[in-house]
Amino acid sequence: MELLIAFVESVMRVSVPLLFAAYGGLISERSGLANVALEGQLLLSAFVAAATVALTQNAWVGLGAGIVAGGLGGAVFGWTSVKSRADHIVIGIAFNMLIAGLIPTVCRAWFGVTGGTPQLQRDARFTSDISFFLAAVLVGGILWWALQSTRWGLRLKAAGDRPEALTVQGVSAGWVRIQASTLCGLVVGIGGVNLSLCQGSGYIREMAGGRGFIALAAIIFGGWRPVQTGLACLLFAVADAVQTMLQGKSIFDLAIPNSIVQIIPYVATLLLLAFRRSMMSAPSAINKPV
Amino acid sequence: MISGPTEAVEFIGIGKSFGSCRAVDHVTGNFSAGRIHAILGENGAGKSTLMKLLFGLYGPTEGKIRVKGTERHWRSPADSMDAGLGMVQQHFTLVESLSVIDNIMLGAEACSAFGVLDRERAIQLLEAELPSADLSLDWNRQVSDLSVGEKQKVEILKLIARKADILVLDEPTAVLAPQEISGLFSILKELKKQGRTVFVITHKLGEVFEHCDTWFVLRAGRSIASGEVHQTKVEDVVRAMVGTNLPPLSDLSKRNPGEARLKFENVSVKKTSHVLNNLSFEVRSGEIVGIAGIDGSGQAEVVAASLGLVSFSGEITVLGDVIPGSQSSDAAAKRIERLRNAGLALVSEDRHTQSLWMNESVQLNTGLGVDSTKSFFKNGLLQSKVWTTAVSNWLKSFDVRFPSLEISVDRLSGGNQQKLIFARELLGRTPRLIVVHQPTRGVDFLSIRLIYERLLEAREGGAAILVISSELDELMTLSDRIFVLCAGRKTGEFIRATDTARGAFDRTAIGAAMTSASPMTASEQSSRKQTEVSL
Repeated sequence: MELLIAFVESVMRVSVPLLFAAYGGLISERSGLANVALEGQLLLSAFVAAATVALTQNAWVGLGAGIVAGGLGGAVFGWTSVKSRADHIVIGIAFNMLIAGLIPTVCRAWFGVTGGTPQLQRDARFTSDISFFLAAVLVGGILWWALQSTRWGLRLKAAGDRPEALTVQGVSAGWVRIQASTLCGLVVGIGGVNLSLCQGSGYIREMAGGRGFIALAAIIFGGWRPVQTGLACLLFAVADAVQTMLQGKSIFDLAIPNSIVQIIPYVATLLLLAFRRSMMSAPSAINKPV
Repeated sequence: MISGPTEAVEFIGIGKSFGSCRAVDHVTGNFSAGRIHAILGENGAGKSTLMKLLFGLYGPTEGKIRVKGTERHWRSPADSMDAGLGMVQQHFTLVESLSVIDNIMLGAEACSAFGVLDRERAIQLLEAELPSADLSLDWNRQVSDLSVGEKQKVEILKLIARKADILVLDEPTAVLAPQEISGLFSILKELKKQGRTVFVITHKLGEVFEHCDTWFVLRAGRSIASGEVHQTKVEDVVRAMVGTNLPPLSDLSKRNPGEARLKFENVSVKKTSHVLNNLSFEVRSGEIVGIAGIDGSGQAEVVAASLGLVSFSGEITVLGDVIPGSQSSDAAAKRIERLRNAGLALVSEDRHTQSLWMNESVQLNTGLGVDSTKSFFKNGLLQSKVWTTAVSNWLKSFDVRFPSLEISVDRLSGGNQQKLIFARELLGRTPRLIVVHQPTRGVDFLSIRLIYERLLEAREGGAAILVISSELDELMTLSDRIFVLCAGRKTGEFIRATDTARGAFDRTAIGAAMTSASPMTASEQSSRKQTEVSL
C-alpha cells in the first residue's frame, strides 16, 4: 500500500512538467505552429525562475518571472515563425539551440558558473507537488472547454486547419498563431518553474531532460485533443515512475544497470508512437505559412 | 446610361496590371440590382480579376467602381464586406474539421460574455435571413462529411449570414455534378427574389441561357459585348467570347472498328451491394465508345477495374492483358506501368488529385509518366535538353499557355492543366487505348474544341477510345457508340444512326435509360461514395 501511494505520488510529480508542456504545445500546434521548441521553453522558464529566486529569495516572484519569460519566448518563436514564413521545425531547433547556448552564458555572468544557479533554500521554493498537479488538470479542463465553446478556440482551430478561412473574413491567421504561441509559452512556463522551483532546488544544466519532446509525443499520441493528450502524459509519467522505482534494484540477484533502467520512458515513447493507431490526424495546415 | 440606385455595380474604365501584363483593360459596365449577371469569357480573359477588383482583393490600377451609386475605394475585402459584398471563391475556404454553423459564424461569431460561443443564437439569426428551406442544412454536421454541392451552400450561407446583397460566385458550377447545378441556380433565384444581386463567373453557356438575366463578355481583359439573355442568340455570345466563329469539327470517317482493345465480360464489382452488375462491353480499335449516366452510376469503377485497382468478378482484358480479379496494389502498379508502356493513355476524372502533381513544375508534370521506351535517360543521366525540347513541343501542339516550364502547374488555369494532361497522355506514348473520364470539365470553348479534334485524330490513327462523361452533348458529338450505366447496370446501348453524321443519337431514349433502373438505395449510394474516396 505504501508502495502504491509512493508510486502514485511519483506519477503525479513526474507528470506536472509534461502536462504543462503538452497543453502549451497543444495550443501552439492546434493553431498550425509545429512546435519542437517546447524543450527550450521549459529550460528558459526554469532558468529565469531559479535565477530570479536566487536574486530575490521569493518563490512567487520566481513563478511570475518564469511564466513571463515563457510567454516572451513563445512570442518570439511565434513571431519569427509567422513572419519568416520558414519551416517551423527549423526555427524550433534554432530556438532550442539558442536557449542551450544562452543560459550558460548568462549563468556565468550572474553566478560565476556555467552549470546552473546556486542551490535555493527550501523556504524559497514550492513544496507542494499536488497543487501543481491540480493546476495542470485545471488548465487541461479549461483548454478542453475553450477549444469547443469559445471564439478563441474556434479561431485557433481554423488557423490550424484552414487559415484561408480566417483571412477571407478579414481575421489575421498569423496574429492568431502569434497569440497562440505566446499563450503556449505562458503555460509551458509553469512547467518550467515546477522543474527548478519544486522538483529541483535551482536550475541545473539540461534539467528538462527531453520532457519537451516527450510532451510533443504525448500531443501526437493524444491526437491533438486535450483529454487524450493528458492521459498520454500520465502514461509516460507511469513509465518514468517505474524507471525511478527500478533504479538500484536487482532481479534474481542480477543488478540491472541504471543506464538501462533510465531509458525506459524514452523506449516507451518510441513504442507508443510506433504502434499508435491513427485516430486523429494533425491539424491540416500545420507548419504551413499563412 | 443614367446611373441611379437601381445600378448595383458600375465599372468606369477600370483596369488592373500585373507587371507588364494587363489583366483587365479599361472595362466599363453597369449591372442592375436584383438580377443574375453572367460574367463570361475564356480562360484568362480577366473575369476573376474583374470580380476580385469589385470585391477589394486587388486594388485597381486605374478607373472607378461604384456600388449602389457610391464611388468606392476598398482598402481590403473587409471594407467591401461591410458594404454588402461577398464572394465565393472557386476553391472553398471552409474548415473541414468544424461544423457547418462554426464555419458560417467564423470571423463574425455570435458570443455571450467572455467570448463564449452562442451557437443557438447564430442559428436563429441565420434562419431569419434564409430565403427558403432549400438552403437549410444540418447545422451541426461536420463539413468534411458534406458533398461538394452542400459545401458550396455553406459558402453561400456565410455570405447571407453577413447580410451580403451583392454576391459573386467564381465558376460555381465547375465542381458540381449536373443535378447539383440546377439546385444551385434555384437557390440563386431565391436570393434574387429577395432583391440581392448575383454575379456568376462562368464559361458554360447552357447555364447562362437557362438561368441568368444578363451577360457580359470579357476577352483578353477588355469588355467586348453585353446584353439581356432573352434578346440574345447563343452564337453571338460565342463569337464575342472566342473572337471568331468556331470552326466546325472535322468530318467523321466511316466507322471501321478493328480488334478489341478493352473488353469487359460479365464484370461485377461488389461493395456492400453491386456497384457494377454483370457488365459486358468492348472498345475496338478505331472507334470511340461513350459511357453515359448520372454521376456515380459505376463510371469510376469501370476505370478502377480496368486498371485492376478494385476487386471484381468476371473477365477484363486490356490491350490483350487479362487483369486478375484481385491483386496486391504492388502488382497492380507494375501492371499499370506495363499497360501504359503498351499504349494505355488515361485522363482521370479529378485532375488535381489523380493526374497532376499540383505543386510541381509544368515540365515535370508533362515529362513524367511517359512511355519508358521513350525515356529521356541515357546511362542513368537525364538528357535535360532533349527532355525540355520534347516537352515544349508537346505543349505547343496542344496550345497550352504557360509563362515558363519551371512554373508550378497549379498556377495554370483549369483548361491549360487539362490540355497539358492530354498532351502528356497522347504524345508521351503511342496511344492504342485511350480512357478519358470527364475530359472537358472546367475547360473553355477553344480548348474543348482542340481536345475533341485530337481525340478524333487518334480515332483516325486506329486508337480505341473510351469516353466517360456526364455531358450528354459531348458524348453524342464524339461517340460511335454510347452505352448507358444506371446503378452499375448497362441499361441501354445506342449506335450512331448513320456512319458519318455527327450526333445522330436518340437523346430522349438515352435520357430515359439513364434513369430506367430501379433507383439506388441509400446504402448503395454510400458504398459508391466510399469507392470514389478509395480511388
